[in-house]
Amino acid sequence: MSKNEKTYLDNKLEKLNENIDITEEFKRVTRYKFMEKMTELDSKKTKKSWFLKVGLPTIATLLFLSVASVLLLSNYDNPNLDTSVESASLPEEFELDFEPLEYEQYEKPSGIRYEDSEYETMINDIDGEPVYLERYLQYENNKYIGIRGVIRYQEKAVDLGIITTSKEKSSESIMMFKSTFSEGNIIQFIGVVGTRKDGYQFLFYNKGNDTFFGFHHMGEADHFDWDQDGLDEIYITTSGGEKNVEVVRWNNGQLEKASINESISIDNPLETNISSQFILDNIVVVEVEINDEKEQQMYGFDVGDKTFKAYKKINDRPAYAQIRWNNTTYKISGEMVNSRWIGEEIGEINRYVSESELERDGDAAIIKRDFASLIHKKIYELEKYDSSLVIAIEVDEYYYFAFATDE
Amino acid sequence: MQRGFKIQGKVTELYDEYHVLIFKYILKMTKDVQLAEDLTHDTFLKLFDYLLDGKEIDYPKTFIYRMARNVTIDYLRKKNPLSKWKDMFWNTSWYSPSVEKIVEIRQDSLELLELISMLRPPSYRDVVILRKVEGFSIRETAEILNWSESKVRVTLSRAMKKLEEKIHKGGVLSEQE
Repeated sequence: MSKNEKTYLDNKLEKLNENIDITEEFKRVTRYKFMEKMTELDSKKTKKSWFLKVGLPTIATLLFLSVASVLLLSNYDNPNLDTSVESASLPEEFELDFEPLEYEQYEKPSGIRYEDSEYETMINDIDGEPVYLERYLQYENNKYIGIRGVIRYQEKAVDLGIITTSKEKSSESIMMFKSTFSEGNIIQFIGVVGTRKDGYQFLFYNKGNDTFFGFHHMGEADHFDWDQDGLDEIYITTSGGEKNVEVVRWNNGQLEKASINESISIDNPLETNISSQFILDNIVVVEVEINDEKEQQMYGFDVGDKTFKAYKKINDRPAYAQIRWNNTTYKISGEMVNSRWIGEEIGEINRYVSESELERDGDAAIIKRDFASLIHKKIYELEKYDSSLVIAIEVDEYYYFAFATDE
Repeated sequence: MQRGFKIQGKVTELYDEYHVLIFKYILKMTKDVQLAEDLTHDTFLKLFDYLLDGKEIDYPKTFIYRMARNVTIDYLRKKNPLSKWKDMFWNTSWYSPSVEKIVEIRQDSLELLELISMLRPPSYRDVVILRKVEGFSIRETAEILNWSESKVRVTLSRAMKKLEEKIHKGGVLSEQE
């Protein structure tokens, strides 16, 4: 075999993939099937994950608080139940204060040429018909200003305006949603397009009059049927700058929005975040955090009277283990820390002892046997917190809070 | 839940970029369009699951190929725990109606694919496909196959020699010139 023949064989092998053609129809259909499967898996994972990682600890908390903890919401006014919350900042209950949300009716694009389209992506489907996002590079006085998005559905095209100012192609995130947003699914929430830097366009389709509309928001979207009425609420979490959660719903023929911060009257919380949402005895559990380590508050959303009610305080968290660090004993809770809060590594767990023997840095006493082994697990400071009050420990790539005990 | 949607977006981007390549790769192993489609989906769903667990990927392409290979092998092992699953690859013909409906392959490439499928041991096929057809470097091929780089070099050299012999016997390449 001569060198030339080998090169020829190499070339033939290199071109094998090019010589296998797959029909466009198959690509389109298989992509659609995959998206459906991914959405379904996400839904299953979310339920399972929240149950295992947050649901179980929360159930443990509810048990820890005795029978009253589950009954609390339905017996909230019962003075015999010790459900008082010491926090001075956070209310014991609140309602979401909805008000109309202005939105934009997307118009037919003008001033673009179809042949200038950079590329398109199928972002969702409406009754099986694909909805595409097309991107056009936009210049003003020969200066690049961003990527303009156009939604194309059947013969219709609507203009989203500039969806990202980034120069990188495909820099934007596309999130596809399949939710039941209005009665009869006349109003369909189809997705979110944009970037963290420039914000996102929340896209809706009105099946009744065949129009697209939406609004711009800097936060990130998810949806969940909070009030269990069969229609999803969209919730939008903003994490940079203002930290808030806003809830968007379709009600009486219009979009409405409610802000949790405004509903609780908090001006500048450290974090307002939905860290869990699962249904337990008709309660949608929602966690809201505030600026002081000891004033984090859990709220449950009572489906009956549609009110958020406080149901536990931070010291009631279940403890899985105790660890000793810097002359302080900390209880490890089952609650995970947002990894972006993790600061410097300050040590590791060295040995197991009994609770009464906790004395040296790195000592650990296991309280619940089902918690993972702690030996050699790293201990971290939290950037936002005083380490004399709370630190974090990494177990199997997740970080958990460890709160100082009142010794 | 927010993270789930962010990751959906990420996986969608990776899917759009690599799903055709992955489909073709699995199709080369299974010669079954339906199975290749399902296993391609399984690969990206596994990727989604992986990212949902908060893990990160440095080199997506290599990682996804490795995942695709493992998903395919796992499927074949489960389906045929007692048989030699490795020899299930390629045993069917490329000339099946299910393939022809969806996939069009040039005749000379089809013949070359058949010859690659006849390579024994199966590791020869693996290394030729990844290094020569998919175009991975020695290091990347080693990573996907979980081999040492020297094993990739040696096996590839032997596999190519064997393939050239088969080509000469079958006269595939000479007919093209």
